[in-house]
Amino acid sequence: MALLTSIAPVFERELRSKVRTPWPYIEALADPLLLLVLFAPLVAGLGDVPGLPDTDTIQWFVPGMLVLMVFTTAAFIGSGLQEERQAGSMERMLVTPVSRFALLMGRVLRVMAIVVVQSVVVVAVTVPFGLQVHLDGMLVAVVQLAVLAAALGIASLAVGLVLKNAYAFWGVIAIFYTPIIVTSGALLPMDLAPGWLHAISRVNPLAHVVEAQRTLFAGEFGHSSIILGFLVAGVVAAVGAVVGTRAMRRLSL
Amino acid sequence: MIRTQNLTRRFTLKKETVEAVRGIDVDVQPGELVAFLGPNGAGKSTTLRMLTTLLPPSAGTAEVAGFDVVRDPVEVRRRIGHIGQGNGSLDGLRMNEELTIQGRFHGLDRTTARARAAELLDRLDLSEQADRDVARLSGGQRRRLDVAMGLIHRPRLVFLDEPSAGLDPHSRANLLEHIRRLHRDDEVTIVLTTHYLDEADAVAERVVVIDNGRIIADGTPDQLKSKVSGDLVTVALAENDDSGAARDVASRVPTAHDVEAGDSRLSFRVENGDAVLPDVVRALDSAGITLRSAQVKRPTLDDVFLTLTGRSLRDDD
Ligand SMILES: Nc1ncnc2c1ncn2[C@@H]1O[C@H](COP(=O)(O)OP(=O)(O)OP(=O)(O)O)[C@@H](O)[C@H]1O
Ligand SMILES: [Mg+2]
Repeated sequence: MALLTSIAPVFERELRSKVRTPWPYIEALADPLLLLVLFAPLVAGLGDVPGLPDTDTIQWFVPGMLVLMVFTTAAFIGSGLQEERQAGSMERMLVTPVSRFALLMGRVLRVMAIVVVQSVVVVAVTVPFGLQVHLDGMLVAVVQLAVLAAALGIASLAVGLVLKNAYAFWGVIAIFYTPIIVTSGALLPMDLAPGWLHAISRVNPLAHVVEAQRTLFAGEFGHSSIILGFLVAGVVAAVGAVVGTRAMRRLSL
Repeated sequence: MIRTQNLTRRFTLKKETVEAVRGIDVDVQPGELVAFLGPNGAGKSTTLRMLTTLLPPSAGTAEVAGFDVVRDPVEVRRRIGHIGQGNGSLDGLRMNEELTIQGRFHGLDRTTARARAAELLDRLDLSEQADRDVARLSGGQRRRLDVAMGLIHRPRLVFLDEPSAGLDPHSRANLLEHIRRLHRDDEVTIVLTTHYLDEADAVAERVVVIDNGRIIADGTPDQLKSKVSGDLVTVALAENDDSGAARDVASRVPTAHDVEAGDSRLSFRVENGDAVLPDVVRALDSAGITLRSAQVKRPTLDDVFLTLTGRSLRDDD
């Protein structure tokens, strides 16, 4: 209860500041839609390729786009924390009774909320292009995207706390960005990959969530990939939460 | 309100150890207005950060508002206001949003927080800017918002780290007046840091001079100044050739010391300078020395610092 009453104002503060400068989120939304328009036809044109459905490329493509969108929305929020630390606002908040954990969770809840809205928008926009929606599958899919957002968000916050320096933060992001995107299998099926690349994709959490999302959008429940997707996101979230709260507790300015 | 014992903080930077604060013992009673005065890097902010629970001490203890900063940091945070050296508001939020949410961080409900925010904005002359993005505030307005955020929960003890640094003289005077009023009307205990001598002199009832992580003097501005023996008398001479003769005259004045002469200028320190000056002028006159001007200056806090350390605080600015 006490935790909830202290997360609420953090969440509200986050939301208010982001709603007024929504450009990063609109950008994160535009990205998958542009890929859908410009890249999906190329994928469809590949024809008979292992890992790709014969028809309905959009049904295969949209879940991957959603995962990429979650990545762009959630994976950089650690830099916001760094900015507040550079300015005096973090220090100011640290001298209030609000718990350190709440200062992180408020931010995580904010990206979860935004991701839910973004996902609904992407799905709504792609239905006219032939996306078939299985309501129950999509519901679980959105929940899973929110969990993934939480996992990436908290991991990003942890990185932002451990690396004090903004250059170091963006350096880490730059190193991981391309491998994570390519080996997620969101753009092209990983069945095409040589053994070593396929092995990399197996340790990429996004790859598992992409597969889970595709199953869910196909309306197939009871597939092990769905559980695996949740599990992988859960592990990332747990590791991030432990590292993040420890760094936050030790945070002295 | 505050009691520290041997408060110490070291930083380790790549094998090199920085002794930022070296054993500070200080007691602050309820209702005091204390200024920590010292040059850059003296350890003022580090001391304040330990007292406000932002930084754990390397050694020693501190009790603030009735609680130990290490054992009960949350209880301390509930009872103090902290206005840090940097800006405490985030671009993209409006002034009343930051202020109201700060109230809710302190456990006020939404209605109370809003009412209290409006009251503080009014009091700090910020009502007109209440709905403005903090990025579009002037430096002085933004600093007053920081003060408002530090006061939202009516703390009885407030810390301000360099409250007026970087402000123009007008905003500075205005801010200091708000601080003074907070102390006088609401009887809030205030600890502020500054490296402006005139500020410490003008606003504080008690000045704690910190240098190199240690307290080197502690007292009212007048007590501190009395450590510097005597007022500074300066006389401008019409003829440089008279310097030697003027020096002889000054040396005969009772209690005069630190006599310096040269460059058509004579200066010395003496007790009760105002009363001595007429005699000095007459004596110079009868020695046939023509004067251009004469001046008596009471010791400043800079003189105090100079006497204690051999360095001037002004050089650091
Ligand atoms: N986080 C830190 N890591 C390493 N050294 C630090 C850290 N914070 C402060 N120091 C060092 O401790 C000493 C005291 O710094 P502090 O910030 O307390 O000085 P200050 O009196 O507030 O100075 P100023 O008037 O410039 O604000 C300085 O030598 C500073 O370099
Ligand atoms: Mg400082």
